[in-house]
Amino acid sequence: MGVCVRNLKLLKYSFSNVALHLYRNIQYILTLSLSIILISFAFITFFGLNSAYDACNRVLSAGMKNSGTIRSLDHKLISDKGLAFLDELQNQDIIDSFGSSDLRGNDILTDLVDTQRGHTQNYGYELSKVLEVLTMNPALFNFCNINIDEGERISNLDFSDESLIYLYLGHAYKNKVELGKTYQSNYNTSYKVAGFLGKDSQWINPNIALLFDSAKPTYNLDYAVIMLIKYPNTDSIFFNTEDNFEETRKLILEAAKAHGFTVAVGSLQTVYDTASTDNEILADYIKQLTGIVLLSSIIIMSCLSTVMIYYNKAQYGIFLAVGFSEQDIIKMLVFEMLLKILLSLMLAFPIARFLSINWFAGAETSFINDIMWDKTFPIVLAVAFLVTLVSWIIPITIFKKTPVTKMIMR
Amino acid sequence: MIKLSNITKTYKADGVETNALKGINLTIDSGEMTAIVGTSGSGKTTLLNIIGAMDTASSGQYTFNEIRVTELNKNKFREFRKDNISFVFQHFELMTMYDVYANVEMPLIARDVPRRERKKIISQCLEKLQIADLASKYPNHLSGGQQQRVAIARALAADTKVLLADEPTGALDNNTSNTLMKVFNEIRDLGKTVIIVTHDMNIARQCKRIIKIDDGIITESIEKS
Ligand SMILES: Nc1ncnc2c1ncn2[C@@H]1O[C@H](COP(=O)(O)OP(=O)(O)O)[C@@H](O)[C@H]1O
Ligand SMILES: [Mg+2]
Repeated sequence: MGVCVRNLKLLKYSFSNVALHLYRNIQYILTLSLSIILISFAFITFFGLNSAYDACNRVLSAGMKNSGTIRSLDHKLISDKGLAFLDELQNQDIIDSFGSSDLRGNDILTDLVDTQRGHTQNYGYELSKVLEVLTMNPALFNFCNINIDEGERISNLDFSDESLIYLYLGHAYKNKVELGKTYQSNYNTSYKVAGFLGKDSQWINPNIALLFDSAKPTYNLDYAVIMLIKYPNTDSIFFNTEDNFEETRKLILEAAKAHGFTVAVGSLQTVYDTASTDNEILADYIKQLTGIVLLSSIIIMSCLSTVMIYYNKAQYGIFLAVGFSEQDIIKMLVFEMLLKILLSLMLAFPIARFLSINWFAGAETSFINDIMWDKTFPIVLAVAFLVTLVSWIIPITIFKKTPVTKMIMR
Repeated sequence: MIKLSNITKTYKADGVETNALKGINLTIDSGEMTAIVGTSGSGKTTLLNIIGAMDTASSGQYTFNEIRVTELNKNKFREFRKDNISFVFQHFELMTMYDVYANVEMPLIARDVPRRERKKIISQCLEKLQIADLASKYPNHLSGGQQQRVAIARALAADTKVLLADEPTGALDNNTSNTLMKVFNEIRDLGKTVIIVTHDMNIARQCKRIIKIDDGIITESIEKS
């Protein structure tokens, strides 16, 4: 009972010590906060990479090994010649399923633009009337097994009218747009909402070749607008083949040459392998960086706590002189330490959270924010405690070695 | 009560040895009011710290009512200090961030005294030192004499047999010093053993016994009748 009261009082003493000397403690708290933020991001990147690996493996093992991208190096794919080239690829059965991501400046699909705004990776376009769409031919749509929640299945659609383009909309549009709604464009083209996708449907990232190493290779389709088209209309095309990838690649390159342009063909597997090597280098780098951050935090915080002990030594001397024990004072120091960790976390986590939400705002990278809470938070918490604990070894040793008479001495 | 035989103390600092005490033999009886006088650097503080178990002697025997203090281990040594000794310092050494009440409360908390009893003891001590009206004031707002009274109240609250004071009037003017010596005498009347270190003969003269120390050796011990 009495001991409990004493501990409570010690807690109160340490509390007022931190509160009344906030200006002295602020450096400590800021250093700890800074390292918490840095360590958070180091771990987020680390887990982000791992999560990207996992997702890649899932994609590859789900039968996407024969997938890749065709990129036009001279930007000629968007032309009649490009169409002829793709026509040939399809007619000669070299590839049958392809798609791409595209941006459509659009005046008629405005309700889709409004729903999508702020939820795509292209948040730079947020204020304009640009719609991010996935264009794919029916074969690719089938191949990807995209789950249709409501509306027509693709086999029931009538493709005889070439001026009618079917839309499949992500789950987020479900209560905003009517099924079967038709939009009439000025260019003798019309769009019809053919169905809605199930919640959390995934598709392989359309920008896979560019983003493989830094983002999720799968892509949440909740805000996606899928247009079923015959041929995509961009310089970078995602495709899948059922034949040997290397042979297909040769055939594509030959066909491109015959049509007078240069393309690069990359397989998902090679992109993944290259990215893996890059990632390992990056991961090593992050490990080293984390080590440096930890070490320098420990050094800085050791110095700060030593100064703090020195500042307060007269006070601890008084505590000892009136009858408190060394353990009582170490208890007080531990309470102080916990209090400062708490304050630092209260400062650092909202900042880290804020930064991560802003940096990883795109739909493809927002999963990084979840990583922060699911995996990073407990580890960073543990690291913060460890760093603080280690940084108090020297000052507490100094305290234990200092005789009482020297503490009060002026 | 307090018996020192052949106490020496050697400080080692930066390879230089200082013999602060060179064989002290001293007996102080319970309920005495003793002054230790000497010039600066003569070893007064060192002697007081050894008596108060703030520091250990290099050699010699220190017994306190049957307790062989020089043979205690670290924890017992600290327990001995907590149970028997209170201190008053030249610069008061109050906690500036706590008010007078909380300052006087500190030794009671260290001794796990229950709240109700703490309250009673604190008001008694403040009453005795005539500073009851200052209970909620902060040390920085008090005069030197008032601060030293608070420090004495704090020492009194611990209810130890011995009160040690190192230059308690060193930071105070003559008038205040003399009033404070009356306070110490009153405390002695309560049955406490009071030992005061000072370099001021005028202060020392107000004690029943005067011990003169010079260069680590007791040169004179005067007892007034
Ligand atoms: N912690 C210490 N380390 C080294 N020398 C000390 C220490 N404390 C005191 N001394 C030396 O011991 C001698 C006695 O000091 P002290 O007891 O403080 O004298 P007084 O209190 O009479 O002025 C002095 O020469 C002083 O320099
Ligand atoms: Mg002295």
